[in-house]
Amino acid sequence: MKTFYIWLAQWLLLILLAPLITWWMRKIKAAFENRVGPNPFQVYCDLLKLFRKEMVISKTSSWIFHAAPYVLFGAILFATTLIPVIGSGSLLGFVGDAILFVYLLGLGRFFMSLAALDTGTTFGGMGASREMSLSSLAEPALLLSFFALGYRAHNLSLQGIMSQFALESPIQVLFFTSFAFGALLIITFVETGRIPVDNPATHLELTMIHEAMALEYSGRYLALLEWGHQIKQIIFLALLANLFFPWGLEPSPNLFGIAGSFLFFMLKIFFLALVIGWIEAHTAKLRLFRVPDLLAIAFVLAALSLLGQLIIGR
Amino acid sequence: MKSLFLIQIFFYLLGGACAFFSSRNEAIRNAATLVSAILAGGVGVVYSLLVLWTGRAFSLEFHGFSLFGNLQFTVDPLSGFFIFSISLLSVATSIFAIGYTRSHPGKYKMRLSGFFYHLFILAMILVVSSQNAFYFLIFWEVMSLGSYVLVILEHENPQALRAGILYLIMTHIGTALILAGFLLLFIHSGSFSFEAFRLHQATLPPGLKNAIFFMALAGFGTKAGLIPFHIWLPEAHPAAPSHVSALMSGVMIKTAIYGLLRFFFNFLGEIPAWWGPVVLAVAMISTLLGILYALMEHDLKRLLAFSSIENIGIILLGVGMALLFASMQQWPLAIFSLTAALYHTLNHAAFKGLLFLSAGSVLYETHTPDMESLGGLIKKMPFTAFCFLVGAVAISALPPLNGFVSEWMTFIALLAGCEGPAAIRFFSPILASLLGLAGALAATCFVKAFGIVFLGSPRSACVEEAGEVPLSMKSGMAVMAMACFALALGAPWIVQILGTLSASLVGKKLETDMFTQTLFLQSPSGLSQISPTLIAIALGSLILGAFIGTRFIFGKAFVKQGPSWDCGLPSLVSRMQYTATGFSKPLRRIFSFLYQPARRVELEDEGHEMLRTAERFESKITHIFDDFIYKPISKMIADVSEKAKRIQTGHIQLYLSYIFITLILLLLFGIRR
Amino acid sequence: MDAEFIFSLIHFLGLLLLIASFGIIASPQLAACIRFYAVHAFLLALITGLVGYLNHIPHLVALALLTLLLKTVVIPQVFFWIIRRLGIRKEVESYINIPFSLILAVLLVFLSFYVTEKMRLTSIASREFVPLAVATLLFGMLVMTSRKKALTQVLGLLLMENGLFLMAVTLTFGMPLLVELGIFFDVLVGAVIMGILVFKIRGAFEGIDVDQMTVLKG
Repeated sequence: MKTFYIWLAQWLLLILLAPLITWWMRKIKAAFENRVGPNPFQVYCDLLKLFRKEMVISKTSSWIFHAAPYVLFGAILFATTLIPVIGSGSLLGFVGDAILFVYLLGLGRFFMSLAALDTGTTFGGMGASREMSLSSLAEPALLLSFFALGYRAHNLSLQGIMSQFALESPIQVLFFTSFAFGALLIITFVETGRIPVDNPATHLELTMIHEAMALEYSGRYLALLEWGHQIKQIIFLALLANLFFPWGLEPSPNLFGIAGSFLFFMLKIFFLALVIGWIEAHTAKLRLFRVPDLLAIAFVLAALSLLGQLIIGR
Repeated sequence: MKSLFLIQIFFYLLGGACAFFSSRNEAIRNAATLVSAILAGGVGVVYSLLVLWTGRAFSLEFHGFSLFGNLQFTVDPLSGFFIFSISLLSVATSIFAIGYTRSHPGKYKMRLSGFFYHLFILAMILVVSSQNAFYFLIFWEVMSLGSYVLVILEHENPQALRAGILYLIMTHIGTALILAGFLLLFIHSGSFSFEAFRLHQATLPPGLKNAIFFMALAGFGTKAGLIPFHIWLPEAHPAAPSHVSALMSGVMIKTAIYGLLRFFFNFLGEIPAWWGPVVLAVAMISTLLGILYALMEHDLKRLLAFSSIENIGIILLGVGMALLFASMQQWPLAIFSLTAALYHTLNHAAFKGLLFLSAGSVLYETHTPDMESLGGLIKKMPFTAFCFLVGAVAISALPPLNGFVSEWMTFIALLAGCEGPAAIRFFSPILASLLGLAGALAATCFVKAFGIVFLGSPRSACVEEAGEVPLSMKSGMAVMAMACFALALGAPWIVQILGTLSASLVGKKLETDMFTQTLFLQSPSGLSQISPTLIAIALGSLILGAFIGTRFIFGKAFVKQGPSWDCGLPSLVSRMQYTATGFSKPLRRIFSFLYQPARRVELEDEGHEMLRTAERFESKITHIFDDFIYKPISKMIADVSEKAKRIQTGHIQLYLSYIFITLILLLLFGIRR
Repeated sequence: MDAEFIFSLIHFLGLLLLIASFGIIASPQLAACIRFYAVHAFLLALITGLVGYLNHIPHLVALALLTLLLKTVVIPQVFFWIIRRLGIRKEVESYINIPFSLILAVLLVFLSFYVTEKMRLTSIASREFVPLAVATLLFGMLVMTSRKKALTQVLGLLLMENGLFLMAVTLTFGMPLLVELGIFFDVLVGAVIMGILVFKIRGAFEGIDVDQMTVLKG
């Protein structure tokens, strides 16, 4: 029963801390650009404000437009329950595996793209078309990197992979997963819409992908989309942190152990966010049709991770 | 159960007869015809479920036609499974057809279509239950010809006729190959009955075995629409009336899967190691190219037809892995892969049937399958839109619907190859990730299909007149939509039944709880587990929770209606929306090496480029198999026939002398022997 | 340092070597290509040095130092010098696009793994490196056959040489020192000769695109 509470708590924490990571990334970018950046409460305040604001909804839209934010948010909440944060288990980790995780994100994307097409604007169609095209190339790379990790762990559930890696010696894990890490890092950029792929801070019609889809949304629905996006971001960071640096996952059951392991986790994801922020601040956005090259690299890295394991033993 | 089987046949015959005989009132006769099809389907569902449930086969034998062996029918679990799919889908399509055919009296020559509709379904049922190669081929041919007549029903349309001819040619090439395969088996075993094939399978010489393997793969592959034998499928399926398209895509092409399974696992004895990889390669090509071509279509029914090619590929991925594991003697894995293939067969029948019926409803109301002139239909036909959405989510393999479950099983079957020899160990995860690519592309394809057809604002006047379809068509779609939900929620029980069936097919016994554990599906190698039921519950409650939670915390939302953002232009017109062609543009560029797209832009202006009067844009892609394989072949045949024309002079005497010479040569040949 | 750790380290370096080879294929810029080659040679030197250290073979360590000097410093500098002198366009021009050559490269890695697995090598050294060496060799060929510029073809040749070197080092602890020195000298001379050839090609064809040499045929 106690572990159940831990799992519930880690799920809720992940959801509640998601805006904090967004703040941290904005702060990092600001620091690289010699700006001050927002304070930590700004992101929460934005969300709160959006939740209370009036919505303007297009007359062209149908019930799909109303349903999509909830489906997206629900699917992402579900995906969050599959990820162990502290402790080697997760809330609903037993009902599904990495494949379910990938397809849950796919479900959210499916409805989001439909909602974008629902308003009958050019922007919506553009965003939906780009998002679906790019993510359909990202999905095989994401799956293959999970398969490469699962190949080593003999398990395909996220919690299974993590607890398997936690048992092995760190250097072994690093050897065999470094390629997959590279792949997953690239996918993180694609899935969370960071700079070499998509720019979260722009509304320039030629470059936007995710923002183009959310263009018609306002008020509560926009808050759900934004929050969902932030949770997606923290999920990917948590995956990177716990799949490739799976230490400190098994805390002693007292309060100090749990708190320590939680702090360690936060340290990991803040560091990863720093890395991502650094890359983002130091690269230019890619042309849309160069992104497939990047995704091909991710796919190749994942395939190499598999090959590396075949060549140099398991 | 024997009597139920006979009753089903009787109802189909009755329905077929009704189409010709009963009253003058078109509507009543039509209803009577279709009601008997519904009853027949219902009976079929009942007894096939009984066979599947108990696992006991029954057979019927008719003596008297003993030239090629007795006419014998056996409904074993495998046949029962296919009869179940056929009957279930035919119930839905028959209900749908009551409304669908009513609107076009005269146009759909009801007598003809009613008769051949029944003949077609009956032939499918008899194909999968027949136990003798000779009668199998007869029913196979009846099935092909029946569907051919339904394809050319709109024979005023030259395109339908062309599709029909192509279908006729291709299906006969396929049948010829199957016939050759059966004849080789006959030479070896000395009988046409399946029982004899089964008895003599162990002594088949390897060369003969491989020849039969390729003939079966190509012959049934033609029927299944496997690439590169697929060219008839995207032409013929859209040309038929929609309820027949649903049957053709949903179950007719699956009879080829039935044939392949019988050949591979019942007639050909021990399986060499390289068969699996061959099937896997062909299947993967079909999966990827099928969906890639579907993406580029903007004819709704052609899009669905191409997506059938993809799904046949996915099914054969399971079959290929089953062959591979069977050759490695890894029976639990082989059974699991086969279960995945069968499950996807059933699922595809459900969601593709649903999608074709919904597309039929759209066609019924708007009279155009061209996506570029549709749009905004969700407001006019909310129920149809919902059904199409269910089908789209299912076919995109998204949780919580049934497509996800069988695709997950196929993933796991492929990944289980990691235990095999080196080449398989590397390629099976790669194949699995390519399956993921196909799944993601399918999602893109159906976002496009649903988004362009049902969402946004209407692109042409034909949408304005549309309304919701009549009750019978709605109920037909509702049956299949519910089937999609049921097939997902009942996954553990279905997998249990299909597992037992697959085990009996490979001649092994399935230990209970090997693939399923209460609500969970699990892979036999312990790689992973999921619970489709719990996933559906969790997903549903989280989405509902998000809704209720925000409502509870922040109260009712303030909503104001307004126009869409128009960038400050005077007004937003529907032509400014993304089109189907535009939507798939990024992928057309990314995969340009495959599509080799060609575009033509024509501009007309009045002396200055600002004063543009007309603009024409044309974009088309190359279908590499049509252009690089079939066109050269057909050209070659045309050339040869041109040459052969020389012996055709038109003089009757010359023709007689040909016969005369042939006769003399044959006589001489006969004497020499 | 214990042998176990060094062994793991060598394996890790092997994987990095593979990444560097992929880098050469993946980078669209000529300069990046050359830098990746330098990294490749650097890793090769490290591996050689570690193998020498582990098995107490002094001449391997010497070879490692030589590799470090020649291949990571001198040859890249020569390349950069040629680029500057000729004012060559910075992009790598290729017959097949980058994603496709990457996927081809993965298949090559798999192929090399597949064929060497059948060989049943019973060597005392790290036989896991044989597939990597073969892969590097094949990558060199891929670069030579698919790229348009004469300069990238030299790069491909050098990559092949690296593959052979890796094979020799990890399979039989290197060839006799004299032979190695000879090869090094050959490589250097080869690079210089190629450099001169590139000059000549440009002089004759106003560019170093070897595609234009097709007009030479009768």
